[in-house]
Amino acid sequence: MTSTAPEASPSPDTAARPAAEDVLIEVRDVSRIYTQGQLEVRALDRVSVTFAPGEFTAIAGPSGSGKTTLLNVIGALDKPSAGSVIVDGREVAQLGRAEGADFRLRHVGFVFQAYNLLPVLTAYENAEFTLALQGLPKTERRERVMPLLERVGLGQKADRRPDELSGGEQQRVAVVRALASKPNLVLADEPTANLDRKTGEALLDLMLELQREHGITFLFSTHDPLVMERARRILRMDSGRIVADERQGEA
Amino acid sequence: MWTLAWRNLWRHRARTLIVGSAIALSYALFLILIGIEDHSGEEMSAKAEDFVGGALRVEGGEFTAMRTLDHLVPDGVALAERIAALPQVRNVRVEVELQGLLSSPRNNTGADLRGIDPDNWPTALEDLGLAVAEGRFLHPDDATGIALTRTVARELSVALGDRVVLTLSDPDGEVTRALFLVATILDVEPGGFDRIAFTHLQAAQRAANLGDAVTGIGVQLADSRQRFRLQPDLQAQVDQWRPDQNLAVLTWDEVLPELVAMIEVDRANTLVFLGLIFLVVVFAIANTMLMSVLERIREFGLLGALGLGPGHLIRLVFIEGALLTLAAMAVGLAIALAGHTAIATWGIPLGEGGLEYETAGISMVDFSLYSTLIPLHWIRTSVLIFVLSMLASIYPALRAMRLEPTEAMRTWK
Ligand SMILES: Nc1ncnc2c1ncn2[C@@H]1O[C@H](COP(=O)(O)OP(=O)(O)OP(=O)(O)O)[C@@H](O)[C@H]1O
Ligand SMILES: [Mg+2]
Repeated sequence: MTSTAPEASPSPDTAARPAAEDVLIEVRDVSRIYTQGQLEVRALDRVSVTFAPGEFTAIAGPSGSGKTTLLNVIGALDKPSAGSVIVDGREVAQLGRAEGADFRLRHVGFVFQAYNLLPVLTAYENAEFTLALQGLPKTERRERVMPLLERVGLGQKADRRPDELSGGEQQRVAVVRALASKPNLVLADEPTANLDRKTGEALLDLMLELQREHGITFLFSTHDPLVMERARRILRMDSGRIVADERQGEA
Repeated sequence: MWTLAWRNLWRHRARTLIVGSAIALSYALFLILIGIEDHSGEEMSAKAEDFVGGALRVEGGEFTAMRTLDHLVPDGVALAERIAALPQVRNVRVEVELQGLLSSPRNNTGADLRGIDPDNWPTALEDLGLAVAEGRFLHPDDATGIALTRTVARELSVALGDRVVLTLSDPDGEVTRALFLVATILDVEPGGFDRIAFTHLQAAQRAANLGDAVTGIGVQLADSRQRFRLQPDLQAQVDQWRPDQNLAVLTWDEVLPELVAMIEVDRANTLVFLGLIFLVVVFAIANTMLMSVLERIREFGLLGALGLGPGHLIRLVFIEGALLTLAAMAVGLAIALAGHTAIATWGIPLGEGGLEYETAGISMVDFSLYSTLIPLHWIRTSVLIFVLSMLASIYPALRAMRLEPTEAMRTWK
């Protein structure tokens, strides 16, 4: 590890490339073209961007600008039509279904806009789900998950089913699940979109704190200008392109 | 994964219960009918064995096929004694079986005449469903005594002490006659053999000019289900003892192929009926599993995003199907055992006349249905049903596997 933290760069508008060893994710010339009959939709249009380890980045842009597609491509949920995606030294752009799933299981935490939790499992069981999939023993799972649940204020509600939790509480469980397996990066697709302003901001603050505590790279997409203010780096997208890459100091 | 699968099953409690009961009930019905089938099969086998004289029979080669007296077992009593000494053999029954015409001064009738050694047939009458009604059964003093069933006696219009004449052709084709005195009248139980007559072995041998030859030696085994395994052994042994006599060792199934065919047709009918029922159940399972996959498309997408690969997703659906089937089968097994026990204890009455049928000269009357549990058959059925149910999960599982996570996630937005 080098001492150059990405946020040390003060210039807000330049996408100064970090040194090679400081790159966790490298997206290079990635295009994702959907064909619908005769119509071609360029969800991503030759996007190139890098993310350093420990970065907390918001991806902003109007609806249909390609935010979800970019996150999916980085998480190997979607295959780009062209270009390469390297995560932690590993080319993930052309992984098969099973390899992609395995990659996500070991290295990526996901948080979605809604329906994040399995309705038949309790909050605790949802939170430990990926750890159980990884084959961690019960006691170890408990040791990792319970403190996190308590950290997000859900220690008392661990045995509730998702439909007995509020939307914000459900999202917090999803964040705990994403963090519990200590992934290289957490991808969150509009995690606050279904929450009211206050709850959304609280969730963001929580994510920010956890990110700082655990040093995990966070990438999330959002429409909400107030939410993006909390990020130190904001990528603005439009029509499948990155139109701005802004860095800012502490909010 | 197991917890997840189990809880997923109970999301639609009513649906799961309906399909589960369908599986449980059809499985229970399957087992119960097989129990009844096996009972009547065993009963028929036992009767057939009594009729043949044992699970195996040694006879002159082709006697069964030709039914003529050209094919005999010379010095039958001596051979029978050697066979009786073999391990696995419980008892032997030497007999001379003759097809002839019995005549009284008033009437004629055909009958199956058995020349037997009463000492070798201690339980023969009972096994054949016969009981002494009048007189005494083939006492050693009655060298010319004959035992007739009431049916035959009535047809001949004879009573105890009356004379009857047996007319038949001997091994050389000569027509011979022999005189007997009616010594016994036999009552026939329902299901017994009612066109049968007995004489002493020697009397029958004399009547047909057989010398010391017999038509067959019934070999009763300690376990008659071993008959197919022991048949070649006994054949080899007999060939070694009597190298030039061309003797054949047959199982009762070979002696009475019509009966075997009938048991099999009966069984096939039951299986076809059950197969159709179960086909419906398999479709119900497939349909339920498919519905449960299609209504959870978003969730399968989430599972994919969390790192479940296609193999995992297939397994999840299969485990759900397997849990449903196994739980239902556990209930079904309990129902079947209860049903079996009840039927085995009290039977299912078939009404006044019962069910009468006749095959290969053996008439059977069932007044009630009973059940026999053959563990192998139940296990085989259970495995079959489980496998079929699992096949029903294949298509739903493939559907789950083919879902692209990104597509799946989009479906609910
Ligand atoms: N499976 C698909 N088939 C066809 N077009 C698609 C598909 N997925 C995405 N697109 C198109 O690609 C473009 C980018 O979609 P994407 O979901 O990445 O946008 P987004 O920025 O996440 O939008 P939103 O803010 O509404 O979530 C859109 O025009 C969308 O219609
Ligand atoms: Mg989106």
